[in-house]
Amino acid sequence: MSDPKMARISRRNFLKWTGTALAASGLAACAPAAPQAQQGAATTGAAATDALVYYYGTRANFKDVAVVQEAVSKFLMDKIGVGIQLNPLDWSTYSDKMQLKNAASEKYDMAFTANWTNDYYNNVKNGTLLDITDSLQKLAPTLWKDVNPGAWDSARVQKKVYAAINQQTWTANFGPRCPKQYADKYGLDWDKINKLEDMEPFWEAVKNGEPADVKAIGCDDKGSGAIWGVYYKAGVIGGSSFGVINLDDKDAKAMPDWEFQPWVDTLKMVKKWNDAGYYGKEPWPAADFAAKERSAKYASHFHNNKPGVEAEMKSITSFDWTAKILAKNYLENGPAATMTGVNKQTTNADACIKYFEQVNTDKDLYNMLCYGIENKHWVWKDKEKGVIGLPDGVTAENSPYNPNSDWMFGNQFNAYYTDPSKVGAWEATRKLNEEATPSPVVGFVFDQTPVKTELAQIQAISEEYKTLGTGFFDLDQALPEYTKRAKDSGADKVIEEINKQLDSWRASK
Amino acid sequence: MATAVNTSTVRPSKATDRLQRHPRLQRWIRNNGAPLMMCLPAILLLFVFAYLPMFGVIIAFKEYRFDAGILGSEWIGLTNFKFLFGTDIAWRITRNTLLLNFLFIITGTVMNILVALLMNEVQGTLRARFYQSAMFLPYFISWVVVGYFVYAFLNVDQGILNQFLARFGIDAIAWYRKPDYWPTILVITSLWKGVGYGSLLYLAIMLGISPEYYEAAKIDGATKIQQILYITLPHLIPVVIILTMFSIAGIFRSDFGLFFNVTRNQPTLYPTTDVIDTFVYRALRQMNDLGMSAAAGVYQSVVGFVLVLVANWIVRRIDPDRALF
Repeated sequence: MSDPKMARISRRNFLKWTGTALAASGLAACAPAAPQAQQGAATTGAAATDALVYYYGTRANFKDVAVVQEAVSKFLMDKIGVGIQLNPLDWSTYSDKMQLKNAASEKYDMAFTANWTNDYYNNVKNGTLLDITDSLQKLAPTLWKDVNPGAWDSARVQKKVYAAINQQTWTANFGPRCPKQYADKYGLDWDKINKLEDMEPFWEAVKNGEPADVKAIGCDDKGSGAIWGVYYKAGVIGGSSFGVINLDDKDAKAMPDWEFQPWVDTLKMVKKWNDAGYYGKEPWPAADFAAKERSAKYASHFHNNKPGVEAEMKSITSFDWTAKILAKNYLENGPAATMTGVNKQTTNADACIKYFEQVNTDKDLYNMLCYGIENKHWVWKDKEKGVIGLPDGVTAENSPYNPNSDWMFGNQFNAYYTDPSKVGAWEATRKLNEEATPSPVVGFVFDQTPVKTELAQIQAISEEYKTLGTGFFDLDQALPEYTKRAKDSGADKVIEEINKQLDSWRASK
Repeated sequence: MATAVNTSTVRPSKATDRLQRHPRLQRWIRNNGAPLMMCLPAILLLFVFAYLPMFGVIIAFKEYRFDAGILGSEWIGLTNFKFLFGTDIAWRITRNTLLLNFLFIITGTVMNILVALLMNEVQGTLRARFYQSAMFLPYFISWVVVGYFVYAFLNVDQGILNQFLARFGIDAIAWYRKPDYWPTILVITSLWKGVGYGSLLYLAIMLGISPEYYEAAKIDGATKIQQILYITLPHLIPVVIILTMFSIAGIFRSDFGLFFNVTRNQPTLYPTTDVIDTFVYRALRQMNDLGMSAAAGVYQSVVGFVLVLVANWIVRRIDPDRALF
């Protein structure tokens, strides 16, 4: 033991082992924590190898995800021979986390993808999603036929479909919505409101009758509260941030928004409202908007007033609402707002497509994902009309499974109604979708690659003018300034590129 | 028996051979083993998070596709760098980044030393510990939360500052729409958050200065101010130089949390608060182009590297002993 070598060697060994342990623990800390559902799967016994790994967004961490996963897996095993692994990720980080997984080429089977989160077009461009045009038609024929061809077009990138569409409301349904207390107090009569200007007397009355912290028109600092393009018949070219087309012109050419006169006129109108004080002294911070809404701090807000919106708003705010649609019904890229894509890394592509067919056609399966297990997470209130409710003692807040996002899993028109006042809303929505006038550029996807330098610069510039649409700028000064800066950054080149692509897209149709 | 254990458990590897052939290295390791081990986690982290990703800079020169991978993606030269230059924004973000960071470095250093000097005078008392803890606390608060504090002060309807001004008959000011005030607001916020932590290092050095210097100075009749000027401050200079050099290396990088959260990312404030990091975030958030983001990172690193070389060169010209390398 007195051998000096021995002492040295054991110290060296010690170093080696601690080093290894440190490195191991360090690297282990880097690995993503397994989602709760995954752990649930391991304990409930659904074999991970033949389960489809499915990522989607969630608004909260529900403890019964594993229970639902087991039931859904059992159902799927009988029908298509695979189980499922549900991996809900919090909405606030969903897009970032998916981008990370995609950038690292993580192996998973399916994920929610859209034009507003986990960006569909980027995923196609980056080679994350699998082309499923043919397999959808072969393995999910009912789904393929149920969704109309125009809708599939809006999911096409260079004629190929990379994701299955979940049917829900696709049209903008733009108009004002108001907390009923203000509408009643100041005598708002929807019959007399046919355009937004007709609201002016109402707003004036609200401004004079309510305390200063109640805005006549709700708005935030990220552009909410502005009038949507559909109202003045402008279609936005996705991915360009400033390129618009006239929705009523079949052969419309793209132009920058400052050249589109209806937009400029709208800005002038809004500026007048802002000067009159309808938008308050300054816009609310975007992060505070939801809280302001829940405490009825505005008398009206412009938004998508889809069928059943009053009940939906009431469930969020717990007071009554009233709303009206004031824009023509156009179909733009709405279908691209809720889709599920198949990851290129999957080894089980056919099973994914078969799953799409099941979840979009089988009401039991679909509602299990949306609302959980009967008599545990929900009970029938009116089976004939398809209305469900929460079991005794369960509230929306304490429910162990209440994702409240039926549009994420599949065809929303198969969902049970959660409120008797919503009965019939799906039929009405389907009708709106079918009657909608397609935008002349529905299905056109702008490839940013040739002008991405210019686009990045213009994107940064146009974000500065976000509140132009709510009148918080001196229009005479800001509009020419915005125009000049965007032009200096190559706006003309971008518009030229859009029109070039638009022409070749039209020629190929 | 010891020998038997020795030969059976440990095979003499190449490394041991080399060690035995270099007795000086052997001694160095024996003497520095403990400190080395203490550094090991930090070195490992540095390796994993700073050296390994360095190979990723090639993404900045590629049209990166996830399925093609880093090596498989197509080379496109300097195209990804173009968006950083050539607009009026390029000038604005460069100016804001440099000027604001210079302001932070200067005001930060001065305030840190000042606070450390004051602390040094009350050291050992209960009050000192209270002051120190109170000033240290903001360091642990996230910028998101600080952003809300500032909003509580400055919002137009119920902001504390506007209510205070109203008492003197001054009209409410929409602070978030007045870019001119913001360099000052950002400096104050940054100092409030950082000074407790920043002064700690200087205080530690002050505590390490031998009391004999001060005793000798007192005997010679030096005033308190003279003691500070001629004893305390010269002891701080090497650390000030090192810290300033590090800050200069990072002068092209801004504290994203500060500029994004405290300004609430208000477009009206961009003329004075838009920096390279916030611009890159805004330009690429929707495009999600990894190549262009990497290009921005490479650009900041290269400029930072050059600035360190220049700063070090200047220091060496003035006083070679104080230079970092």
